[in-house]
Amino acid sequence: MKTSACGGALLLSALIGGTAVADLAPDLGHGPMSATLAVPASKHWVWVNDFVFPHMADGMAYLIDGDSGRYLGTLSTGYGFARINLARDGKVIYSPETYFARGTRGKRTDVVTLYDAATLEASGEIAIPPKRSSNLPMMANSVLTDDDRFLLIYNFNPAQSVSVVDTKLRKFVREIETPGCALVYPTGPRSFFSVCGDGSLSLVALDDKGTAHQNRTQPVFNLSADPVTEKAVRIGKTWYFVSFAGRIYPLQVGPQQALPGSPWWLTSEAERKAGWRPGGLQQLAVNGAKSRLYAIMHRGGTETHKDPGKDVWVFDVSTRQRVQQMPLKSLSSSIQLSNDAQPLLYSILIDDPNLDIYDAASGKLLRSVAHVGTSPTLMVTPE
Amino acid sequence: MKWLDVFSENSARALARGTSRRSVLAGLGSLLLGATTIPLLPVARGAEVPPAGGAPKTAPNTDPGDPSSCEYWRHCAIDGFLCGCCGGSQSMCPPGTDMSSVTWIGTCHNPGDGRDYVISYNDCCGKSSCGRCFCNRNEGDSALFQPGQSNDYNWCSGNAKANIPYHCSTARIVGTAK
Amino acid sequence: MALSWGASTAAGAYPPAVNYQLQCMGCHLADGSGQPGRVPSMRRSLVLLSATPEGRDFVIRVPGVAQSPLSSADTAALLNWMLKNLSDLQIPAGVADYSTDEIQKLRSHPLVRVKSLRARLLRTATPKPPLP
Repeated sequence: MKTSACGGALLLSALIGGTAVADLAPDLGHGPMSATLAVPASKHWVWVNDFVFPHMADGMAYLIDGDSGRYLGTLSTGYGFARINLARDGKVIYSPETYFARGTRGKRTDVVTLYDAATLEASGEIAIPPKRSSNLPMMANSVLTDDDRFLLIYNFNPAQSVSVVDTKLRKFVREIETPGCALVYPTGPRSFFSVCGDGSLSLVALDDKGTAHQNRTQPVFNLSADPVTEKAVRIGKTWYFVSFAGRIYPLQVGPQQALPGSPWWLTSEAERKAGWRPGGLQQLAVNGAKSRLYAIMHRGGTETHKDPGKDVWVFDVSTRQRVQQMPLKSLSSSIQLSNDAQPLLYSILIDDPNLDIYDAASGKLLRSVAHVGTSPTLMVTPE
Repeated sequence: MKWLDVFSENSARALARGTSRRSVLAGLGSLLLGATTIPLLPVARGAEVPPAGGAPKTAPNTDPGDPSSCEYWRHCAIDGFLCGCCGGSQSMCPPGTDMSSVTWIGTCHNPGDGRDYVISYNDCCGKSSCGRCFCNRNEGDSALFQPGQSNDYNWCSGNAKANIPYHCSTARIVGTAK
Repeated sequence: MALSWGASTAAGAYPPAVNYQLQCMGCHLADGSGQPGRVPSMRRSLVLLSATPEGRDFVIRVPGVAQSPLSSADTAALLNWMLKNLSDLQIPAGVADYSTDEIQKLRSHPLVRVKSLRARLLRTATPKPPLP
């Protein structure tokens, strides 16, 4: 017996139970077409920055929910991308970016793009001198002063200077010459330092207009005998620099002075003999509340100070003792911690974009998120 | 540019997609541990320790090795894609790219003639990354605080045409280091 | 192993010409002409600055010199080599060679800013008669 398709459907539904099943409601015309994010961000969200080394004009940053492992959103951030900077009120994201008129050639323009934290749309941009340093990304490439008033960007062309952007007025206000000194490390509401090639620090304090009072300290590092990496972290007023060999140099730095503490080793002498040393790209992380310092460790020779590791060692910075060892499931070149009482530890390898998320206290691997980028570098978490 | 040796496709220590990274890197680590026990020559950064086997035993070749290999003697402190694999050579940029005059400079030991040479690692700029023959060797490298000893900077920064897209790296002989 | 970093040359390890290549040439280029707007040329300014005490103070304290990993003796030798080999101007009468002591005294006080001081010093510097 021939029936029409419609008749057939009715017959089928009659066989099922006699009630008609409604079509799914159309998506068109219902609800928003773009997802939005909660503001402020959860403390367990993490931004993974990516300078996309094979295609450096296509910098990216990815937002992941550390609790669920869900991928939440993307920023597209231009050539030679280093990192985003999160405003502490959670409403805006600053991103120093570089663009060429024709993608990889033509007139160069550098801007700080402002992204709305809820929509991840570019809500504005601030032009800056087109000399932002292009280097293997460091957290110290750009930082906000501790009151969020000024965004500081390290320039290298190869003259060295710092661009100062007033986030309240949303404009570039000043370029500060810092000859012989590199990168930017905040030290207070309106101050920062750079590290100079002779191991001294260049201390800068800014007034309300971004005008700088500058001076240089005596050397605090011996860069020939025990060179330190750029990848320092801060707890309170103390910056912790680590040397290639594995010595920690604590530095209490304020607007006008630096007080070096006595250095201490991450390793015992026996461990050093066995070749243990820190390594990686974002190789240190801190939990300020617990005075804990986390370091990616591996065994290797003197030239391996940037190699990834499969172990994280945890230290109490006040007792200078190792308090925990966290073996990782995979090699790691970058680690970061969330800033809360139940911290997550995020771990990623630059050439294997699989983000592993651990419970920092127990060391237990909680979840992994696949396909997080091309050359993931630095991770940023909300304060 | 410099980072972890994970994009290399043309090196004896290549990390092909299928190989176990852990075993390769563990092997690399032991290679380097071995190297530190050999007394280092009193030369500036970037000097390569001559291999234990010594110079080749055939007729002397004063520029030995494969320039498109990471192990080529001039690459002792290089960090980037080898221009020889990208249409250029160890001393010439690929077509349509500009050589950055600003760079970092090291010394490498030439096992072919036993001399140390000053090597200028000029980058070629103006196109997106070549992506072939990545090579990263960290001999004597320092942090960004000492630009003259750091290959973590994109040295296309100094390119007068202000085009800094990094494409590949050369390894040009400046002269002998003596 | 301090030597392994290679950042400090052993005293007298290289002649000035090679030290120039390793420490300066990367930014200042082989002939000292630099990059306009980014790296200053030394081809006239080095002679002009070396002719006055203020100028010499500047030359030694500019971070590229003051922070160099070279010993003070090697730094002095390098500056003197540069004066003779990278200059478009003749060295005027009465301009002494840089000495180790001179370098040693000043290099621990690198300049915090260089641009405006350099401009001021060069504005007032005039080429003096060359050595006969």
